[in-house]
Amino acid sequence: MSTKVTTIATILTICSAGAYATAQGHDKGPLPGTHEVVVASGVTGGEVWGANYWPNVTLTGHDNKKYQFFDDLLKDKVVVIDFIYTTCPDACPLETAKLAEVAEVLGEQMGDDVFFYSISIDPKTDSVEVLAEYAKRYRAGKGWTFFTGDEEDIKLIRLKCGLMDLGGQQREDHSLDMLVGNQKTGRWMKQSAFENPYMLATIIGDWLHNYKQPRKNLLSYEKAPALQNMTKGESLFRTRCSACHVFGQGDGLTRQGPNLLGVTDRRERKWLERWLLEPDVMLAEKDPVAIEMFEAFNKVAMPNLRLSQLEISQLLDYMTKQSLVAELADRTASLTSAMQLKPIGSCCAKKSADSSNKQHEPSSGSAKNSDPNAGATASIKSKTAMGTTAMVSIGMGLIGLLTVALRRRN
Amino acid sequence: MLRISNSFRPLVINPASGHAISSGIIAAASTWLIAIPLTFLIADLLTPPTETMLAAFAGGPTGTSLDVTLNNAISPALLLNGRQFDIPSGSRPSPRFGAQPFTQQMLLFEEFGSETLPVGAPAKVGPSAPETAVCATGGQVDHHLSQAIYPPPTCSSNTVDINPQRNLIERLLGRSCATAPCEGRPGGTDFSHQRWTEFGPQVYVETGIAGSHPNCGFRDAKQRHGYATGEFAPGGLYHNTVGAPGFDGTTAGIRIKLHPSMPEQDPLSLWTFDGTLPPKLMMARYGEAILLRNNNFLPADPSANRGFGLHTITTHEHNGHNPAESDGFANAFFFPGQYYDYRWPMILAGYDTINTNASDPRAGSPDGNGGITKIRGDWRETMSTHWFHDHMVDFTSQNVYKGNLAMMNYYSALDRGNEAINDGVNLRLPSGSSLDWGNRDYDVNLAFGDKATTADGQLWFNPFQTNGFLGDMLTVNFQYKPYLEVRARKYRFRILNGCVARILKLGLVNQKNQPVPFYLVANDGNIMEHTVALDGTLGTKTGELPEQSIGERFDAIIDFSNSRPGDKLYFVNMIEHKDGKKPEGAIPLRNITSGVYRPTEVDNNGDGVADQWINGDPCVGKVLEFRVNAYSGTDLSMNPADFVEGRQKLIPLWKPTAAELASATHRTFEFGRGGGTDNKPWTIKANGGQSLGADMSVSSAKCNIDAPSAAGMGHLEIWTIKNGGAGWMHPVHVHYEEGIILKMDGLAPKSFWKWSRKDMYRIGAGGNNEAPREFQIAIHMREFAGTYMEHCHNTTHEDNSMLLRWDSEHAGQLTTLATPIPAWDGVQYINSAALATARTGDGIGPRR
Repeated sequence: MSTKVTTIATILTICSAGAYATAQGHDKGPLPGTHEVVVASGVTGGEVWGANYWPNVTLTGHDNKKYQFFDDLLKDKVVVIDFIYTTCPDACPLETAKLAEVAEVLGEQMGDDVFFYSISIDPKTDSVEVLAEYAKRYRAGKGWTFFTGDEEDIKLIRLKCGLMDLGGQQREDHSLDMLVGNQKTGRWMKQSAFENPYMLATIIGDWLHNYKQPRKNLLSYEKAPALQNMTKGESLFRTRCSACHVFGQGDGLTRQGPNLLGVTDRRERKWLERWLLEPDVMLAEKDPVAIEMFEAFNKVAMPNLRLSQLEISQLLDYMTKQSLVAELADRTASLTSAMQLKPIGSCCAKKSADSSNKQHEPSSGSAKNSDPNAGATASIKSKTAMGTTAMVSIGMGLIGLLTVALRRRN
Repeated sequence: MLRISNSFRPLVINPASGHAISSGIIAAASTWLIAIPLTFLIADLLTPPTETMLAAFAGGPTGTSLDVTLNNAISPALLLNGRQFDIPSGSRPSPRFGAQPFTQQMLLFEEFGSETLPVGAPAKVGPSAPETAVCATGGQVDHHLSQAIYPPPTCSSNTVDINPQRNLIERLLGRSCATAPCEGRPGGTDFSHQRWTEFGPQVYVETGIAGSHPNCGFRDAKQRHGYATGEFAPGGLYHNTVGAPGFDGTTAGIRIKLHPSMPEQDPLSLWTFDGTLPPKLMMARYGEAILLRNNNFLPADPSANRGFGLHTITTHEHNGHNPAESDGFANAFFFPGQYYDYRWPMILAGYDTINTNASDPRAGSPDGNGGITKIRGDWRETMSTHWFHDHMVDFTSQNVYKGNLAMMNYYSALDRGNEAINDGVNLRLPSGSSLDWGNRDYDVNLAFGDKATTADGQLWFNPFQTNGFLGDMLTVNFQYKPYLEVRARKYRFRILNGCVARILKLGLVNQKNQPVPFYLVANDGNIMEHTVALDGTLGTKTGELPEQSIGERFDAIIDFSNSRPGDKLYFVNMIEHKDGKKPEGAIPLRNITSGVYRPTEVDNNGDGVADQWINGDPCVGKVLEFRVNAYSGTDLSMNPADFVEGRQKLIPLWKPTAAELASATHRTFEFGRGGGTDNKPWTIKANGGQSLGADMSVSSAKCNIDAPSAAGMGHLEIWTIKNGGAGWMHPVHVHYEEGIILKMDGLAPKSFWKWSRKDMYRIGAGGNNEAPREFQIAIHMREFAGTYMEHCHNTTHEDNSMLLRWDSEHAGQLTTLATPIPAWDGVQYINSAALATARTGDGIGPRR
C-alpha cells in the first residue's frame, strides 16, 4: 500500500501546471501550490443550479432589510429553506419548533456556516412586524430569517425549490418538506423537519459542507437522547411534542411550551383530550386556560397535531408515566447529590427519565455475529467518541446511568 | 466542456507483466491511455459540435454549450401553466441529433470476469486517484483495475491502510485528516463479514464507479466465451461487439453514447461500473462465494457532477441472500479514493436447516465439467437474475440514473446456462452449449432506463422534483432504440426495469404489427413454478408482459423460429406516464403501432427549440428491434409450453402450512403521505403507528432469525404492504428475503403472481391485479443478521423519505445495531432506536 501511495503522491505533485480553474467546495479560495483542476465552468453543480436557475427576486427579512434571493441568500451558502405562514393552525408552528431544535444543535454554525430561511406563503398577512414577532416567539437567533415579499415571487421560489404541489392550491396543502442544500456544490436534498434533529444537524452541518468541519457538532450527539424501544406514546412525543415541551426542570425553561411534568395531574383528562384534539378551536372559543397559556407562552399557539383519539390516549398515558419517572429521577438525583457526588443539572434528570423508561439492555455489540467464526475473526468494535454510545454500553441501573451522565457533563 | 490537455503520453505495455508502465510525466489532464487507438481518441475529442448542436445553442446568453449546462429547466411560465406531459420532468425534450430508430446494434452486457483471490499479490502501482474535481481518467481506472486486488480483503474493514487520495482530500477540505482509511466499510464487528471463514470469498471481481470514458478492452480476456465460442466466435452473431469494423472480439474503443449520432457522455455526466460501456454483468455460481471490490473513482469535490449525482456511494445487490454488511445499507456509504468489499456468499437460503448434508442434486452448482457440485440449502430458493445498484441515502435516484447499476446472473444446477446438459436437474433454458455453464449465446440481459439530456446531449436530471423523475428517451442497455441480431430459435431475455420512476409494460409485435405470443418464465429473477403463456389465455393478453415496476425483473422466452430470416420483431413499451406519480395505464398495442398514438414535440415560442411533448408520452412506442437471422444449429432448449400450469413444474414454490402461518408474526407497512401534520413528506407507517420518514437510526422491524416458525423454514412472518392513498403508485422493495404472495386485495393471487417468489410489491389504486392496493406476503429470514431496508423503489420517493430500516437479529441480541455515520476520516456510529412494535409486529397470523 505504501508504495502505491508514494507513487500517486509523486505523480500528483507534478500536476501543477495551469491555472486553478475552479475552487468549488472551497470557501477560502484556491489553495497554494494546487494542481490543475480539469473542470471548465458550466459543469459544476453550483453552476448548473446557479444564477441561471434561481430567481433573484427581492425578499424582505423580519429584520426589515431587503435581500436578493440568489445573490444575498443562496450564493455560496449552505441553506435550509422552508415555507410557512404565521396563521397556520397546525403544521407550521410544529415545523418551526422542530427547526428551532435543529438550530440549537447546530449552535454556532448558525449564521456562519448555515442559514435558515422561513419564507411566508401568506406575505400579505405576514408583514415584517408579524414575522419579527413570530421569530421572537420561536427564539430564532443568528442565521435564521423569516421573509415576506411579493406573492408571485414567492410562488416562483417555491416552484424552483420543488416545494409547490401544483395539485394542491389550498394554503393548508403547502409542502412541509424543506429544501436543504449547498449552492456552491449543487448538493440539494429534501428533508423533513420532523426527522431526528441530530441527524438533520449532521446532514446540514457536516455532510453539506463536504465534511469540511472536523466533526464540529460531535458534542451534539452527546446530547442526543439515547433512544431505545419506544412506546407509541413516546414515539409520538418525540416527533410531535418534544420540540416545545419537556418534563422536569431546566430545558423546559428554554422551550416554547409549558413544562409537562405532572400535566396529567394538573389538568382534567377530558380537557387534555380536547386540547390535544383541537387546540385551535379551543383558542378560537377563548377557553380560559388555553388563553392563559397562550399569553404566558409568548403567544405561541399550540398547534393542531391532527392526532387520532387512539394517539391522544397513548400520548396521555405516556405523559402520566413519564411524569412519575421524572419525579422519581429528580428524587434519585437529590439522593445522589446528597451522597456528595457533584451536583446534577436538570438535563441529567431528563436524561435519566428518558432512559429509565426503556428496556434496560446490556451491551451486545457483537450480538449480530453470534457465529463463533465471525466473532473470532472480527476486530474490536471501533465505536468512537459519539457520546451516546456510552449510554448503551453500560448496564443501566438508574444510578449507573446518572454516573455516566455525570461523567459526560464533566 | 472538459478541457483536455494536448500532451498525451501513451503508456507502454510491459510485455513481460502485461502491466502498463508510465513512460514519463503525466499530462496535466492525467489522461493515461492503454491500448486505445490514439488517433481515434484525439480525433473524436477534437470533433467540433455538429450543426444540430450549434443550432441548439442559438439564442442563449452565450450562444454556446455553456448555456444548456447552466440550466435545462423549463421556464417558470410553463411550469405554472402545467404541462400535459411533464416529460422529461421539468425540462425540454431531449434533442435526438438526427438519430434514427434502430440504426445501432445493441451492446450485450460485458462480463466482469471473476478471478481467484491471489496469494501475496504485490501493491498496485500507478495512480488510481483523480484530481479533486475530476473523475479518475480512463487510463487511471483501467490501469488500477487490470492489476491484482490489493490490499487483500479482510474480515473487518481495513482501517489500517490509507486512502490513496488522502493528500488531495486534505487539500480540498483545508484540514488534515487524522485518519483516512482506504476501505469505506464501517469498522468493527457490526460490519465485519459474517461467517467469513465459512463463506470466505473463493473468487473476486474488482471494479469501480468511474466517469464515462472509452473502453480499452481490458476485460476482453475475462469473458467466459473469450470471443471464441458459440455466437461469440468469429462468424457468430456477437463476435463483433458494435456491428462496425474494428470491433471484432473486443470492446476496446466503445464510447458512452446513447446513439452514435449523439455526443459522447462527459466524465462528469455519466458514472458507471468501470466507467465504460457495455454495461457490466457479474456471472456467479452457487456455492462459490464472490467478493466485489467496488472502488470509488469519482471526484473528491462534490460539485464536479454537472448538477446531479453524489460522489459518495453504496452498493446494493438487489434480492441477494446476503449478510447485511454486504447489502448496501443506505447509511454505509463510502468516499472517493476508498473501496468497499462486498462479499456475497452465494448460498441457498435454508443453508443452516435444509438439506444440510448436501445430498439433493437439485441443490447444486455447475462443477465446470458437466456435473453438479451439491450444496446445502433449499433448492426451491434457487435464484437467477439479479442486479446491483447504488443505494446512497437521499441520492439513489440520481446515482442509479447516472449509471450506477450492473446486472448479475446466478448460475445453478437448475439454471446453469447450458441448454444441452440433460441430467434430470438442469432446466435447460435457452442459452447455448459450448461452455459448461454461463452460455450467453441465446440468453440476453436487457436493462431499460429512461434518460433525458441537455441540448448538448449530456445526461440531465432534475433534483428538485419529488413526484418521480421521467426521461423522454427509453434506452436499452444505455442505448437509444437499438437493434439486436437474433437467430431463428428460442431466446431467453432477462429484462430489468432500471428507470427512476417509470413503470414499463413490454409488448412484442412482428413487422406486421401483430402481437406475438411468448412466455414469462421468471419473476424478480426467480424461476416460477410454471411458465405463463402470454397468449391471451388465463387472463393474459397476447404478446404482452405484465406491468413491470422499477427494480422488477422478468425473464421471458421468445421463440423466433416461427419467423423467417430477415423478419423484424419489436419490443413496444405500452405504459403511458404523464408524470412520475403513477402510470396512466397501458395504451393498446394497435394504437401505438398504427400511429394513432403519436407523441409530438412542439415549439411554443418559435425559437426553433422544442419546449414540450404533447399527444403522448415519448417513451411509449417501439424500443428494441429484433432482426431474425437463419439458424443452422439445433435448439436443445426446453419448450416453455411443457411447463405451463397443469403440466411440469420448473421450481415449485415453497408454501408455509396453515398452521405455520397461524403462528407467524404479522406486520403492516403502509406507504403514503402520513396522516397528521406531516402529511406531505413520503412516509411509511409501521404497524398502524405514526407516519415516519426515513431515519436510518430507527428500526421499524426486528426479526429474530433464531426463532424458527417451523422445521427448516427459518423465521416466518406475514407482512401486509399497503398503499395509503390511491393517487400514487409505490413499487415496494424488501431487501434480503423474497416472499410469496398470500393475498392481493384480500383475494388469492392469480396468474403469474401465484407462481412467483417476489422482492417487488407494486401497490397502486387497486381494482385490478396489475397493482393492488394491498399485498399480504409470507416471508422468512434466516442465516444472516444485521440492518436491512424496505422502501419504495420509485427512487425519487425513496430519496424523499419513503424508506425504512429493519433488522434481522440473532436470539439474545438486545440492542438495536448502531447506525454508521461515515465521513472522510472514517466511520463513526450513533445509537439506534427501535419502534415499540419492532419485535412484536401488530399481531399473529394472517389477516382476512
